[in-house]
Amino acid sequence: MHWTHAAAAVAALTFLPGTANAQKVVDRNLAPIAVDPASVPTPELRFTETDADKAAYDKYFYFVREGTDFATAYQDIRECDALARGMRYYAGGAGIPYPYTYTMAGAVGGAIGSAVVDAIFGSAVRRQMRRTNLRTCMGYKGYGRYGLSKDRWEAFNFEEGNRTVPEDERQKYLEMQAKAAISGLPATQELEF
Amino acid sequence: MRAIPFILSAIALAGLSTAAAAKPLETVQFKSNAAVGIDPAKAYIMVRSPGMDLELLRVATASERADYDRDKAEAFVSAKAKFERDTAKYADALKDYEIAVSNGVVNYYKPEKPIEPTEANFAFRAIESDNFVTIWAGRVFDKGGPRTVHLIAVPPGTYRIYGQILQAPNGSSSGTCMCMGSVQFDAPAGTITDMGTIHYPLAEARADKVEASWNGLTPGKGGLTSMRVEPPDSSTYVPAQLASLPRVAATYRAAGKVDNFFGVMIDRLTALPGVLVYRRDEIIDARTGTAVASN
Repeated sequence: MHWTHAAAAVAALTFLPGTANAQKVVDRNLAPIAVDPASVPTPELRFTETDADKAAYDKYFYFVREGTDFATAYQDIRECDALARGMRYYAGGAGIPYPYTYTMAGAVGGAIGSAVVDAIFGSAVRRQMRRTNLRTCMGYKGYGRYGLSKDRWEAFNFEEGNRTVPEDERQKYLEMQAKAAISGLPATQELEF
Repeated sequence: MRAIPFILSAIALAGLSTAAAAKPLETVQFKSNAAVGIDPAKAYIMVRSPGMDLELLRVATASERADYDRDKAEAFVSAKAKFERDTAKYADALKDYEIAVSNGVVNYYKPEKPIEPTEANFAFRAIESDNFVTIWAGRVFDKGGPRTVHLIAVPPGTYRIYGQILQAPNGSSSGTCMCMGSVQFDAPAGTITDMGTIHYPLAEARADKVEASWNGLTPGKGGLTSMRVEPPDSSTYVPAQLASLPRVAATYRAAGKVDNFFGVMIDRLTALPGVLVYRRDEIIDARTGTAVASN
């Protein structure tokens, strides 16, 4: 396990609204994580495509790039996941994105935007933002996007709106997404960037 | 009732930093046709933009970074001391908990073991938090040209085009950051640095009901993104009031990836010929052909 729930709990309670100069302690979450690919289950990607599946490909998709090894794919996915949710990544910090560090939105672990925005737009918009950000980031990295049936997708993906997925759970999903990303091009058609 | 002490402890942890508070940059954005005198200690940035707030990020100087590192180190020492105190309290609280449980008390709060701060897990405000500059779309200096002209006085330094960010008074933000690649430029003291024109190709194409394209680029894998910059040239409109003041064109350089501090949509600046190109998600300085490191 790479993460602790206790860390998230402490982080949540150290960023209360209105506190100045807040600081917090969380497990470092963006350092390179060495994972043995053999220990990661390969998601089942075969399915019989239906019109209903095709209609939901804006939600249920995965990324594939040929000639990529597991470690590279995993790091790419982690980078895009961090960017998508506004975590510190490039600066090597362990922080919540700056504007939210003194708000409850910051308290929940780097969720996109603020609680006010969430109250206005709701969780569905947050989920859509995350999907779009992942598409943008992985697309720039040269990964193709391929559709999947909902049940296949749910086995190794998560939605993230107003709730935050626990970090140990998140990394397990990301590892499987990396495994899918190196599984070779599927027979289905590549989707729009 | 152990929950109350725990919450108080958390509040204390949140509030007892000895670090210096963030100091936002001092900026003045000029209103329409305001009198402009050049202060030799200040830099001035002029940009033409079609109606959306523009976010710039000033690159911290070496001396500012040293100050920041010192503040962070002091805060870390403070956090370590706090951890030692919390650890002592935790041992006592755990004993109380075990006694309570053995006596059949239900719903007794189980204390959580403090996490030791380390260099790797200790989070501190980002140095960038002191260095954002917003150029408000609503504060127009001049409307005489094809695009509204905006003028702002800022501390001299190096500025990066961060993105189009709208910050509401309630603290919420929306917009798009150029987190996956952008450009930066120097804004020296005592002169107006002309950024040229900011374009939003996708939004502008939608407004014009045309297919988005520029310089042979198209959206998606075609390389055209949600924002691009057009450096000024001799035909670029300059307000008459500024024509006689010291003014230089921004000299752009490629800028590496940067964090999504506002938690908004992510994108990258459209490639700028001779300045910024991409190799997949790698940012290349077109002048040297070398990759630019992330910030």
